[in-house]
Amino acid sequence: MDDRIDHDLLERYLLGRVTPDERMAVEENLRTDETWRIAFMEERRLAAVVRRAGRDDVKARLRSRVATPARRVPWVRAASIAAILVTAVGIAVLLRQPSVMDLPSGQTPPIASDMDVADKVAPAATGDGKSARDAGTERGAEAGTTPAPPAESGSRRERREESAAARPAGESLTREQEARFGKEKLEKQGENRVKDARPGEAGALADAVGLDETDAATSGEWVLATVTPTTGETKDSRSNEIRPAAEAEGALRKSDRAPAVVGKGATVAQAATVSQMPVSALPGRQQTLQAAAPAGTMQALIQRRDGETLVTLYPEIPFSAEELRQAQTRMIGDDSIVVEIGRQSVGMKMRRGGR
Amino acid sequence: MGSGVHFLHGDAALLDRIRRGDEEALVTLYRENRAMITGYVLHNQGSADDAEDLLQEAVVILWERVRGGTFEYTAKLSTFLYGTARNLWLRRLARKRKEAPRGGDPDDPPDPDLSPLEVLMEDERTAALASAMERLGDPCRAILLLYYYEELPMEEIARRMGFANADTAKSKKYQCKKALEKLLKAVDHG
Repeated sequence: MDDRIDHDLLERYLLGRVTPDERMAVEENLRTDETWRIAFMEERRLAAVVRRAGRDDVKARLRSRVATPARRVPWVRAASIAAILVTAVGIAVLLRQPSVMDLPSGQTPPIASDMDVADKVAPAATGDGKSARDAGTERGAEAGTTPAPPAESGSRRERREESAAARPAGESLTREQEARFGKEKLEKQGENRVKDARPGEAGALADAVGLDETDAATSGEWVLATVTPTTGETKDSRSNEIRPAAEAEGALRKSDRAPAVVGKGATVAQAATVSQMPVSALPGRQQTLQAAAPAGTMQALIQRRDGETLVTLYPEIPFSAEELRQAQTRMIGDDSIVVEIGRQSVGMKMRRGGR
Repeated sequence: MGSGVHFLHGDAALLDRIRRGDEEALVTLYRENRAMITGYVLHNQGSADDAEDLLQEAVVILWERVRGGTFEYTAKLSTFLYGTARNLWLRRLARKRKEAPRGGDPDDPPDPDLSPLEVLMEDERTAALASAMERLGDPCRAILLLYYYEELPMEEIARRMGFANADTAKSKKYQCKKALEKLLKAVDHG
């Protein structure tokens, strides 16, 4: 590592954590200074190697997880079951067969083969006439484990044969999935148009915000919220203040007024209460708008009840319960709300000012 | 209008688990998509081992994107995995056809600005660095992974590693890079 180089700056440049000025400075150095270029190549190589190592670590853990239960547990289970069955059959055969002493002179007792054992005993063991193998498989399934398919424990040739047999199903599955995805979406849209029709409920509001009555099933104001990824730097852990991503703030703020900062934690009042609903629950018009909405936006409903503001988000990917609990909201000016949730900042500009 | 958490379907639950760092979600994805990916690879000049590797790679790429906040849910997860595995496989097939074996990351295309000789040299340096990285012990390996792979800020790295503060974590990272540099020199001379 060359001490003449600002390695911290170079690292941040590679991770995309630099200001525009810093970016310009780094790029100027890379254009004019060979030492910087070499340091840049080294830093980039290191980042690539560490990322590769990280990915390999996750892959290795995944491999060990998928290998262990699928290959070992069912085998042990099957062996245990087989041992119990063989013992049980042995006892049953002994009890049912006449002893050597009871047989007529010169006659030997019959010997049960392994196949006979499985066929005869399994119905008794399961009580429903299934084979010993079926019984073992079902027990594995009951215990929440995946029984070992032949391909798992067999040779590579066997695995190839099994996969080849499954091939048409696998390919058609993909096409079906893709087709079904679009079909489900259309069906949901149709269903919601009917489901959400509640005449007379919010007609006045519907007129005010330009929606038809059917769509404005719930009284409130629909807005298309801007979603901006946030970074760790936007939150100040010392002062417990929230500082939304500059992009979201800039897009929403109309004046240069400093935004009112809401403290973090349950004891400090929030600008609004946040909940979420699936996109499939959107009223018909909103579904249509959502389908045509640009990337980085989501539908949101803002409602006011007894002086309290309720914000319902309709994310494509739902937020976790924890993220929802920790969501922070605040007003910007008198007509916009920002919700900091998960790693995103969701900005909503209302049509009419004031809360 | 009710409130509370609602999930769209199984994909959303899986994504939620990934975001919370639950690696068992990867196992679920792997098992659910294994037959589909294996079918594709076997049908396209690959082996069962190739299919396993591709599926693992695709699942981990999904993991990284979701964790890194760059994943966009535009189709079902199975569709994403199928598309990713297919792209990876097509790239590998193209490389095989060109008969231009190279080291380093098999899925990382070379810098187009480099000459063939420079690409070769870069591959050698990358391989040497990877070898040094393998020899790097903890906590250095963990610190570098948290910084470059997880892309966590220094405050979070300090918290996870039990360091006093971000400055300590930063200083440790610097020492670790120095240690890696020494190992690299040893690899070069060994």
